[in-house]
Amino acid sequence: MRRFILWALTLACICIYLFVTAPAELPKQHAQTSDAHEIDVAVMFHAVNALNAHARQIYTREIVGAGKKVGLKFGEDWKEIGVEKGPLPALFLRELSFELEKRPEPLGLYLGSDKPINPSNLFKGDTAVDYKTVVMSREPIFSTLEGYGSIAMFPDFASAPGCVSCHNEHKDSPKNDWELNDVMGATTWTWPDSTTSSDEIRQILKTEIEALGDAYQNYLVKVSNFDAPPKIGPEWPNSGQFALPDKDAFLEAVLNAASPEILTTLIGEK
Amino acid sequence: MKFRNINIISIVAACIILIIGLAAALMAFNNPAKAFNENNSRNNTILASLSEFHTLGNFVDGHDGLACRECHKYSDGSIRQQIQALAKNALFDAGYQVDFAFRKVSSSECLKCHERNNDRHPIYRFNEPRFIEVVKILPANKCLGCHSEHNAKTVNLDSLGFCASCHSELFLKNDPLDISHAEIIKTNDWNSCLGCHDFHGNHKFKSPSLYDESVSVQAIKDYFDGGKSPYGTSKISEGLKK
Repeated sequence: MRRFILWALTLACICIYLFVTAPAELPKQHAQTSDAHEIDVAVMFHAVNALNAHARQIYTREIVGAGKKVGLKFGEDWKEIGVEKGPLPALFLRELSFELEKRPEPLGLYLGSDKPINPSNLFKGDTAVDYKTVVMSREPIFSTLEGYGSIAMFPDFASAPGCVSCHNEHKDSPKNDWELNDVMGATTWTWPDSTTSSDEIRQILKTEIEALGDAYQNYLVKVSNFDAPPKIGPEWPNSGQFALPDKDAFLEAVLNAASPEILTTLIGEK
Repeated sequence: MKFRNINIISIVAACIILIIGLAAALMAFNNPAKAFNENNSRNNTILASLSEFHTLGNFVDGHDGLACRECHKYSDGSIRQQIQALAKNALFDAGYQVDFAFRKVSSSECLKCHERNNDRHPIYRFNEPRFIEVVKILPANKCLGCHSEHNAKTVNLDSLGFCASCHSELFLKNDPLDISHAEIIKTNDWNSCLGCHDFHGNHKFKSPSLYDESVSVQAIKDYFDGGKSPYGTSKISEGLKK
């Protein structure tokens, strides 16, 4: 009996120490936002993809397309020391992906295809099956995968003549008969949860805009070290001569183009 | 019998006091008011000052000057909060994400010094769903999948042939090597890849165009085991220190 009482007292003391007098509980998850998580994560995926798609369009048309006409070069080896080139559109997306990864929000962005120039971008396994569905339907698909959370795969269309000509003429391209509006690949997004909140979407969009700015800034840093760097400034694109937009001008153009689509996504008309 | 009961209670009580005391000592310097400058002082905790007695082995080359707390960060909350959360996890599957005393060392600690803007195999790329099968074999989505600390090894893999996990379908239209990559793949000569290719691509190393001029398998194995880098000591870029 005495033994039981001593054990009970010891256990009671431990419980009081650990639970009764203990400080407040730890938060269960990382940085939860204040409002309820009741929005389907597909809404977030549509919004972030719209921003990325418009950024890529502007980068492809206004930076790569217009830049090539005045002698700027773009290639896979753009990061090598001594190489005076900028990132091709697919590598600009990879740069955005890299900048997103540096940030705490667990948003993943990847690019793939069944006919990639770089074999490391080849879809395999289940992702290859999903990609076939995306090519057939020309619509995004959403799924979940244990250990990854929610996954969205959006089709990448050959939206500019530059996409088609570059891929058709590239020495390592496994396909040389691309046409405008073909689905050339897919952008994959990952997020750990299946629902989200308006606060979280706002935060993620803000993060993506910052990451986009930094990705573009990486190109500007490279350009500024060229032997004969092109003019960089806010007067783009109306200066009468070719100039690269500075970071703020680039972001402004992207936001102007993407905002209507993001807005219709967020208010539920899409 | 009476004496034995008192003995058991004393031992249990002593153990509890010892555990709480040790935990309190561990966490004492977690209080910012009490802590020294944790970035500059290696000997800023009782544990750190005794690191020679409890580290598991020698440091990896280049890590010798690091303070313990560069990698071993305190877990969130006080010891009591952590025990509280872990007990609730055990009893009710409560879903707290907390470690006891110290956080598990993760890639983010490594990347604070080693993140590079031209990494050919950045770990985040392996978080892509299409690598789901690959990371089961080669956990390249984590620094600690291939590297570890306190064993003086540069790379902690037994085999050099891990490139096969992703590159078995490699096809080059314009092959720069005298023996084609297709031939190398056909003969399963995966141990030779690192003879020409620096995995992270951070050394100033020019890949040879002749197969026979590639770095030998033994030299790479020695490098894995902590020996001299066969790719040279000159770096294209140092890590992006945050």
